[in-house]
Amino acid sequence: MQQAENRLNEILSAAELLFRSKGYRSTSMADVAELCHFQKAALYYHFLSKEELALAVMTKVQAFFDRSVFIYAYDNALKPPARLLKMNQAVEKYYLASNGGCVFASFAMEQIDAIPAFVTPIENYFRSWSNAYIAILSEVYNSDESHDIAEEFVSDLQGALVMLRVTLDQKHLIRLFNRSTQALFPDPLRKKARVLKRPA
Amino acid sequence: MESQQKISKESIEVAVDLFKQYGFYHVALSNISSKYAINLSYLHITIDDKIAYAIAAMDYVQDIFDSEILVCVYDEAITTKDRIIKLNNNIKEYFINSKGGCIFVNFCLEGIREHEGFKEPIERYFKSLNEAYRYILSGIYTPAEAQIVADEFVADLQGALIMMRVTGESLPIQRLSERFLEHWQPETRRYHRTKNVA
Repeated sequence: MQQAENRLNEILSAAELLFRSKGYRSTSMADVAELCHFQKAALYYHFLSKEELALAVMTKVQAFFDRSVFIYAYDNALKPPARLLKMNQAVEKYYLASNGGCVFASFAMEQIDAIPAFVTPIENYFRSWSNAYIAILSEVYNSDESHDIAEEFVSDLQGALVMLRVTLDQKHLIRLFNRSTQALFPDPLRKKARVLKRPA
Repeated sequence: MESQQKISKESIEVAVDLFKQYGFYHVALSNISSKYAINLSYLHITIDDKIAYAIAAMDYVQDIFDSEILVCVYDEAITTKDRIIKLNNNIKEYFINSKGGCIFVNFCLEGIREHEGFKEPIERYFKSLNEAYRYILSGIYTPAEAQIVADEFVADLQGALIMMRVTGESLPIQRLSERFLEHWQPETRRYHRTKNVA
């Protein structure tokens, strides 16, 4: 039983690594099997298709972020800057540990229209990011402001991750973390100017 | 020869449209030929493989950015504020009024930067965006500050394009445009100065 679970984890970790660095389309079941040193048939014993494997990887990554990143946003024992710092440190550790991007962003760009089953986990992931930022920012901003700023940070984080892949330079991520920390100490004049308009 | 060049340009436009919507791996030469209503074998005569098509598509998009989208940044005949409004409008128009996202971001996320021939056009695209933002910001910031803010905006634009794709809304890019204009508000500029010096 333990051996089967280990094997499943090994498959999911290998698939996550490949999906993050190569995207969905260019990762094959054969690539995953090769990285795990399995026969391809053994992989199909666990997952009937690449789509099923990708869904399992998204579940795994979402669970990791819930457990190891977003949890800090809701830790009321800490002050907002400490919650944000811990969240940023966890994100940094995740993305700098390997040369890959965000699996959800990759899937969104490649497949969101083509595979309906991907839509909900992708939307859930980005919503959980927004909610985590809102939980921290709402201690400083009103509801609309914290919602808008949270959405900006979710978007900007994806941009920083793209640039990390393009330039292999982590400065984009570090600068974004600094900006998010700065947002917790708003300049009163800037705060007033920041009320963003939503289209009707 | 003239006919072949014309056909090539039109087929590249079809390829750009498909690569923007579906990325590199999701598009086959047969998709291009069928959308372009041309025999696949004829397509092979004009450009021989998909990688060459992708490179031609990137060159095509780069040319649009250089000649139509970013060019206003360097137009000294209009005020800096008008240039930035025009730049924002050009970028918004290009990404909102066409299907799909950014061809360069799609290719990056698919991990094909490593392919020979892809690295240079992708880096050139990001450099051209960065230079345009830096140039326009140099009117209100020191060179070092302008570089930092430009770096941030190029990155933020890529995030906005991804979120536009995820949400199916143009709000992320509209919001980013508003943020860029904030740099021309003195109180915001003071904020950025403090932040970047810190």
